[in-house]
Amino acid sequence: MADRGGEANQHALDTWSHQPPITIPRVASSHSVPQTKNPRRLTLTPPIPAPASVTTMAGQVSSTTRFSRPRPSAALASTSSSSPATTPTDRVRDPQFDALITRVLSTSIHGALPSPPVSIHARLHTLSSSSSSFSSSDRLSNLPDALLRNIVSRLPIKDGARTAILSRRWLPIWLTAPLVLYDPPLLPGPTTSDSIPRQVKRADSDAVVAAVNMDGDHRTRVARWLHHLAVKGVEELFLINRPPLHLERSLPATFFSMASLTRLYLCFLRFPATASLPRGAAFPSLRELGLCSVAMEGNGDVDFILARKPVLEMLCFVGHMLPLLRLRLVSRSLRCVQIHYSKVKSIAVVDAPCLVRLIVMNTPLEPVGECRISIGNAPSLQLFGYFDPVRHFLRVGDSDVKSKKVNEPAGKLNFKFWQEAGAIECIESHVKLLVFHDFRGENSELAFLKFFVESARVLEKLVIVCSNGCFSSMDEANSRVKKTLFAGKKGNERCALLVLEAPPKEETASWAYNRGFDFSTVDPFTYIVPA
Amino acid sequence: MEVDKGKGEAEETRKVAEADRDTVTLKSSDGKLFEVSKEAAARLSTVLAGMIAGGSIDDNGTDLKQIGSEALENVVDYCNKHANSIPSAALISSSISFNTAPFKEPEEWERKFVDRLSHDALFDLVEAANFLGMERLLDVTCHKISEMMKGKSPDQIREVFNIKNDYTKEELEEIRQELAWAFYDD
Repeated sequence: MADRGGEANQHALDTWSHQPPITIPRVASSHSVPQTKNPRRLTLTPPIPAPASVTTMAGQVSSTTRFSRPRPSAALASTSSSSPATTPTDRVRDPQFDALITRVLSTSIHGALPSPPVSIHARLHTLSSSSSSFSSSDRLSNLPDALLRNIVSRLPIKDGARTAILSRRWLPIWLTAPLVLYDPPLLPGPTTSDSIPRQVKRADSDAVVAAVNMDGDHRTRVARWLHHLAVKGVEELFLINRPPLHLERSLPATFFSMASLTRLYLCFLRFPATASLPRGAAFPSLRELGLCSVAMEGNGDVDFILARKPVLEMLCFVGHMLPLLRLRLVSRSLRCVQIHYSKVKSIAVVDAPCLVRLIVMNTPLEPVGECRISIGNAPSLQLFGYFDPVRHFLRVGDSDVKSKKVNEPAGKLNFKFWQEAGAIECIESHVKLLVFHDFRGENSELAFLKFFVESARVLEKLVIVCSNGCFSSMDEANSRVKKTLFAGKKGNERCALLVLEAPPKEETASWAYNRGFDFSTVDPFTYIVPA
Repeated sequence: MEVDKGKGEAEETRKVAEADRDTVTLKSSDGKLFEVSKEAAARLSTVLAGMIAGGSIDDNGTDLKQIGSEALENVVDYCNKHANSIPSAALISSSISFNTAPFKEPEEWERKFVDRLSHDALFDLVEAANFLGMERLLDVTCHKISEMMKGKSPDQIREVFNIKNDYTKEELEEIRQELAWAFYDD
C-alpha cells in the first residue's frame, strides 16, 4: 500500500473525485460512512443557469384586495451599460478568483433568481380595432397588465407609487410592478459572465434584484432605496454589490428595517459588525438566506444571523472566504444547509431537529486544512454530501469517522484493498443508488465498483457516467463494465445498471445549488444524472 | 449611431426588389401590404420569427388582422430603420442571454421615432409591438409612455391619458395614507 507510483497514483485518486454523495439513512445511529475520495479541482466552466421553472405571469390582482399583502414588487436595479466610471475591473485579477465569482453568480444568484418581471410573451388582451376614433378613451389603462407594470417600473419610485391613486385599475399594477432601481452609473458593462440575467422576478411575488454599487455617493442612494423597499414591504431581495471585488462596502443599516423579507440573497458585501446593530434588527419572516461571498467581522456574526431568524429553513453559503467559516447550527427551523466553494473550518450541527439536508461542496481555492464536521442532534438528516475524506473530519454522534487509510496516496486500489477495508455498514445495508462520475474504465475504478456492487445488498441502481473520450463507444464501456462487475457469482442481480455518456462540460459543472433547496425532489443529486 | 437613414431605406428597398425571398409581406387589418426584411422581422419580433421558422408566412401577404395599416407601417418602418442603423446590436431576444440592465435606453433615433407619433398612433404601436412580441420596440414605446408620466401629479396624468378616477373619496384617502412617503420629498 505504500508503493508511491507518483503520477499514476495521483491519477488513480483523481478518478475518484466525483463520487456520489452519501445518503445517510434515516436511522441516525449508522456511524460508518463510506469514504469518498480525493477532491479534484473543480472544473470551472461558464455558467449556464438552469432556467427557473416558474414562468406564469401573475394574473391581475383584483383591485379589491387592496392592501392585503402579498405586496409590491420587485425590482431590478441596474442600468445601462457603458459607464467608464464603474469598472476598475481591468486591474490584474486572478483568473481563478474570477472563475470563483462566475461560479458564485451562476450557481447561486442566477439559479435562484425568480422569473422575469415583464414577459415579452405577454398576450395581447384587447386590441382596439382601429386607431384614431378612440382618442377620447383611456388607452393607457386598457393596455395589458404586463405592459403597465413595465411602464410603472420605469418611473422613479415615487412617481411609480403615485400611479396607485390614478384609478382602481392602477393599484394592483403598482403592487405587482417590478421596481427598477435604475441608476445608470451603477453597473459595469455586460461582461457575459457576471451580469444579471433578465429573468428577474417571479411575477406573482415581489422580488427585488438589486445590483448596486456602494461606492461613495451611491451608498446613500442605496440606503434610500432599501428604505423604500422596506416601506413597500418587499419580500424577496437579491442584493448584489458590484463590482464584486469591493468587499469593504458594508450594508447600510437601513437594510435591517426590511422586516417583511422572506428570501434574501446578499452578494459580495461586507456584513456590518453585528455588535453595533440595533437590538431589534432581525428578519422575523425570513425563510431562505443566501450569503454569497459576504465578508464578516467574525464568526459571532454568523451566529447572530442565525439567531435572529426564527423561521429560517434554507441557508446557503457560496464562495464564503472571510473569515474562515465556523458554523454552529442551532435552529429549530432549518431544513437545508448548503455550503459551496467556501473556506470552512468547522460545521457543527449542534441541535437542528428539522435539518434534512447538509450539502458541502469543495472549494476550488487553496486548501485551508482540515474541516471538522460534527453532527449532533439531527434526527431528520437524510442527506449529506459531498463527503471529502481528505479534508473532512466527520463526527457523527460520539463516533468519529476515520478515513486515514484512504487519505494517503494509496497505491494501487485493487479489489483486495477494498476487501481488506472491511465491511461498511452503510454500503451493505442502506445505499440504494450509486452514481459514479467520470468513469475512465481503469482497473482501480472497476475494483471499487466490483466491491461496491458485491457488498451493497440493497443497491438498486448503479449509474456510471463515463468520462469524455475514454471509450470509443458506449457499447465498449457497457460491455467492459458488465464483464467485470456482474461476472462473479456474488453479483447483485437486482441491481439495475445504467452506463451513460458524460454530458457536455457546462452541464457537469453546473450543480445549481437551488436543487438542494427544492424539497419536491427526493434526491437533488439525481439531477446530475441526465434522464 | 448616426446613419444616413435615407440611404439606408433606399438600400433596403433595392434589396427588397432584388431578392423577394429576403422579405416577408405583411397585410394589415385594412388590407394594405407591407414588405419587411425577413432578417429584421425575425430578429425583432418573436412572433414573426416563429411564423417564419414555422413556414406560416404567406407570400401574398401574411394577415395581421389585429394591426391597422398605420401601426403596421410604423412597425415596418421601425424594423427597416433598426436593420440599417444598428446592424450589430446584440438585442436579439433570447431567453438565455443575459442582460445587465432590465431595460435598455432607447437610441436617439428611436426616441425621435416615437416622439413624432400622435397619442393614438403611439398606443397603436405599443399594441402592435406587444402582439408581435417585439421586445425592443416595446421597450422604446413603454419608455416613451413612462416619460409622459414622469414628474406629473396624478391629476395631470389622468388628464393626459383620459383616466377616469373611480375611487371613492374614502378609498383615495386610505391609499394616500398608505403611500404617504410617495407624496413627500426626501
